[in-house]
Amino acid sequence: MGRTLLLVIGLLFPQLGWADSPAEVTKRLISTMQSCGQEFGSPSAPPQCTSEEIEKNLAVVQLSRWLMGPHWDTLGQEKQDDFIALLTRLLRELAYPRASEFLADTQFEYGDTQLQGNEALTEVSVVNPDEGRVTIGFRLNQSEGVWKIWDVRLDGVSMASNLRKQVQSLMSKQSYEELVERMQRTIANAKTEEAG
Amino acid sequence: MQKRRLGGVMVLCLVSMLGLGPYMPTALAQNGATQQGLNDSLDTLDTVIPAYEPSVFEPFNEKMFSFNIWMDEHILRPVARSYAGAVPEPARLSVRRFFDNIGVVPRFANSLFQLKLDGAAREAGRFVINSTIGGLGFFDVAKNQFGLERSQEDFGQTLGKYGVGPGPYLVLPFIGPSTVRDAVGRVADGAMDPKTYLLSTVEVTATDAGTLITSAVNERSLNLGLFESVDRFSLDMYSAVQDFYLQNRERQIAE
Repeated sequence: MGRTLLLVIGLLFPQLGWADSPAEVTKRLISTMQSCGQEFGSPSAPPQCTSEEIEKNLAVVQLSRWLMGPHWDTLGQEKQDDFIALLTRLLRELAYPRASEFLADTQFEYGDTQLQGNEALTEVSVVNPDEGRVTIGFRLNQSEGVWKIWDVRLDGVSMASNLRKQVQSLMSKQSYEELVERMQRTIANAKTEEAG
Repeated sequence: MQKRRLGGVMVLCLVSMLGLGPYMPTALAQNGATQQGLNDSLDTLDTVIPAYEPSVFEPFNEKMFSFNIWMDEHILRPVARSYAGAVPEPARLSVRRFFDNIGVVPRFANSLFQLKLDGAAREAGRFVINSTIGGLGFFDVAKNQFGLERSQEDFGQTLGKYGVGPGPYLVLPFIGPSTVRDAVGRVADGAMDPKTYLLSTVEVTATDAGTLITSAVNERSLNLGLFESVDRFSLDMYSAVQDFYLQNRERQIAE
């Protein structure tokens, strides 16, 4: 009877039993990035080194909505989808290669995870010979039972907040079209640098 | 006396750092580990964020920001590049340590003001050790041999610690990002320099200008690639720098 009940609960609410914890999601992301190194985006990259694999751990859709804030609902479905796609490309071209490079030969100390409702913060420390100990905080959000990363905080400075400030500023002072153009230009710059 | 002090402070404000310090991501790591908590991070994915509100100084700030970038591009960076070609990096790092050592008074005093006695003691110990067996501060013996880490306190942080809000964001010519509170703090830190009270205005001005220009060029030479990458990879450099500055200051005050 007990087993049957567990089975029913497990089938109905798979996230209760088998979903990865915030710490596990963070470890998986770091470990994938460390092992893939510069192979991200290359045609010969193994299956575990594709951008899609990384994106399983990231809350890109929720992050897009958060970055846009009050402007999100005014965009309409088509532009919302475009923005999500553009942000995904920005992360692929800019964030993954740089993060992989940084993480490649780094030793981590995994700290505690703090939970508060559907938000979590997992901390890892990196010891850099020049800069001493740097604390990296991974912010995660739980949606439909799955934890996904949406922010990285370097010594307390939130990268997502920084990006949000830029998006908000451009949306207020310029336009959505200008924001899109800047995102495309930044992606192009990253590609140029990679090619060079 | 007041006039003399202000003269020194003005030069200090104008020339010091030439807008470098607050842009530097490396500065984020100087204090070592920080404990972050969910409680201190106000925003979550569910937070409803208000629309962007520009600083009351926004038109002035944007002009000053462009001016500082221009100055960096046309004067500071070319000079720093030549300097970097002539002086090897270990020597430039020693110069950085030397300037760091002579800036002990505000760090010591502000540690005391914030009742961070450990920080004040470390600053005093570091100054004595590095000024003697550290060859006037060119070598950081205090850190390498005695494990005495530098504290990083200034009067802006002291004000923040006692509840003074940052006020509007402000970009100062030559200096870079600041807030009204931090600009006041910078003046107070300058007034703590002992030589302001010992030398004439002309002497203080000349000494400060020489010291701070050298320090700025040296610091820039150690971070030559910095602005290029921030510029190339940010969507809006002005707001990116503003946000980094404000977040970093908030973290420093919270520590």
